[in-house]
Amino acid sequence: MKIVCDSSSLISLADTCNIDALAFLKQKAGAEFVITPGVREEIIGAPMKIKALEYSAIRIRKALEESAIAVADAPNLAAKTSEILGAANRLYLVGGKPLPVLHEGEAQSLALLSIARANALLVDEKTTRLIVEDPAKLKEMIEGEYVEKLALDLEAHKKFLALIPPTAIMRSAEVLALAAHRGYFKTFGKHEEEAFHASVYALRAAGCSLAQDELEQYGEISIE
Amino acid sequence: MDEFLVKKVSELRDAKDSANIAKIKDLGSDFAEEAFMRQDPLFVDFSIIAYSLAKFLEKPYIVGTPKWIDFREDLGDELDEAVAALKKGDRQECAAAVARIHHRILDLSATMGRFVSSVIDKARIKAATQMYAHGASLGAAAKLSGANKKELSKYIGMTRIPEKYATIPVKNRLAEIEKLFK
Repeated sequence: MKIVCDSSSLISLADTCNIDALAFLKQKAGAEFVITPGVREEIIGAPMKIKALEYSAIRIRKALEESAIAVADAPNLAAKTSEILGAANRLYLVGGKPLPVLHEGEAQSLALLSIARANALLVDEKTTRLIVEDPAKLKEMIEGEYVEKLALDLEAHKKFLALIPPTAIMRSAEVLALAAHRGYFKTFGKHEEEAFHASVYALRAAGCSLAQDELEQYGEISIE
Repeated sequence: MDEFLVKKVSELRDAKDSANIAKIKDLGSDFAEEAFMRQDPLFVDFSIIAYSLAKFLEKPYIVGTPKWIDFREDLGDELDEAVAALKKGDRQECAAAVARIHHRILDLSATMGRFVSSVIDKARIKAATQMYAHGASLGAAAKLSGANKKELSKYIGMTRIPEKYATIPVKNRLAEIEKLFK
């Protein structure tokens, strides 16, 4: 089971002191978590130069050094990234002009999916998830923000999807749920389930795109 | 000449004179939205000016001091310079005026503010959040606005923006992923 990780999810996990969940799932379930060189620079390289952000970067770097996360690269990664970025940023049109919704870093993670033969993408931010799962929903949610008409090019979406393999999308909340079911929160003893539910709320506050309704759904999940 | 930009910067000038905080914040949003659509950093810079100005106007311990009065006067002069440059089609000159305004904002923020992070950093977060609400990914919003991605993520986490983006029910998503883990 190989999972490409976007920076957004690693940031959420590190900031809530749950980055060790990746090593835990690697050990318990044989999961492999991979990142692109761009993500490594984003979550370790750059923050290491800013004192206020350094500790979070150090925690993620530790996960990398202990092989809970691996960096994956390939000669064709740049070309594939460019292709996916171009396709993604032609999906939505405002007043007939393309809306550049995706950043190169996110496109690079999508590009790695087929190169690394990954089964899932771990991403907390909403645009990457929605353009894969439900681009019409993203259109519906943002079109009220625009005065000019917003259009979704469905043919362009088919072309975009053809560039990435069939992929499950997971967020840091799902990582913790999978880990919780395998005993990640056992160190909390009788408060194991409480710790799990609270950690999901912490992820939301750290930026994981979770709606209140989803938080409540998580609250109903028992880890027994 | 970019008529839209000239109009908006002129409106900012007027709103500054009348200390119309609501209007200034609206202009901050307008600049951020346009920055995202056009991928134009100059609009980001004006968004930062607007949000920073609104922030200062909300602080009684800043407004009314001699430093504030000097700042407000300089800001007016520089915004006039920016508009004049835009009317001539000289973006470089406009950008230079904007850079001087940013310097003045940083200076005022450093000498009078009570927070570790500068007003400009906070303004970048506001601009980025606006772009995120308009469909930009976290990375796209952070890159264009110059906001720190982690700080932006935390800020968005405290808003209601994530409410809109639920797709697959949690149990279904978990079931799908569990199948891959077996």
